[in-house]
Amino acid sequence: MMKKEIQEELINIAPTLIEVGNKNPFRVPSMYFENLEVELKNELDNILKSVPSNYFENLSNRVLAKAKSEKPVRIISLIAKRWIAAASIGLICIASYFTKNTKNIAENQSFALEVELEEAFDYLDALDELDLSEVIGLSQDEILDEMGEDIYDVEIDFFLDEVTLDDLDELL
Amino acid sequence: MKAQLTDEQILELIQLNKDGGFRSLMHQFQEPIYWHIRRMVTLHDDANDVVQNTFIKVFKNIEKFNKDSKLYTWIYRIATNESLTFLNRRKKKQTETIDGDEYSLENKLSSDPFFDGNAAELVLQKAILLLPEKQKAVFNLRYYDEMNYKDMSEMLDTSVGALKASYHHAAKKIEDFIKRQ
Repeated sequence: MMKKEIQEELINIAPTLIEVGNKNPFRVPSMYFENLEVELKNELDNILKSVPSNYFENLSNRVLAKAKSEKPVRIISLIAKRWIAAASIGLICIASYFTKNTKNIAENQSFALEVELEEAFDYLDALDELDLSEVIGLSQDEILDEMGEDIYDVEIDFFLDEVTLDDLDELL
Repeated sequence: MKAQLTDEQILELIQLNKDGGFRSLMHQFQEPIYWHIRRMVTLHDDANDVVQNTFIKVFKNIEKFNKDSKLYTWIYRIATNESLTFLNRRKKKQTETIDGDEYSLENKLSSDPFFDGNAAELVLQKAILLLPEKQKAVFNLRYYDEMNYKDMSEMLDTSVGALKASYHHAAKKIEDFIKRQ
């Protein structure tokens, strides 16, 4: 039976929804909930158990073989793109900060900064071809886990959309 | 009727023995969390995957739980995020198909052996499928779970006013859809 406050809320905008009612129309396979705990426990045991036997003995060989093999076509992950974008914004801010405050620095210092920035962007370009999860050896889920629960796409979007160069400039 | 433990009791059990305490936590929350996820993702097999991911995340992060909020809103929040992530991935995978996600899900729902609803309930589910994902979450939490706006606000990190507006829009859209059938 639908709660009175839910009915009152719908009476003027969607009376048909009161008629249909909010009874759950789905069901689950028999014994599903009874088995779920056990199934999940097994899943957790698999995740938490130690690395496969001989994993480290073979690791260097596998890494070297992979490094020597032909470079596959890779698509950059969304997370990597966002972090690279964030890093780029940071670099631009640093550059603008230096540009603003170093009007009197010698030409060679300015040239050195340009070279450093160019190298940094080259590095970012190179990184752009890689999946971040491969760079740091973790899956995307693991990366998110490592970052903790507070970092979500929405928040990254927020920083990319809402944090202005002036805000960053102020922080520097 | 299951005996309900308080948040403090569950957390104490987890501190004493993580595995045993976690079983108590699951015992208490698995059914409401499953149904919340099921209503978001529609099909049982998908719901099963998302439920497992949700509780694995809960298990791994339980030490980080901020005791200022309720345990159930925290777990619902993780479940909602996991469901939204799943739905986004599914949408990306299916954008290249001609039929599109909602249409194929609509077909699957009609023949789903784990759907017990009558004709009106089927139309209602089809209407819910057409809602934007976050509006779907708000509608389901209010309509089916009868959750109060304060808890929902804490869970979805959205103001009560915005949630009421979202629910109002969703209910109107669904009403219009049902009337057109």
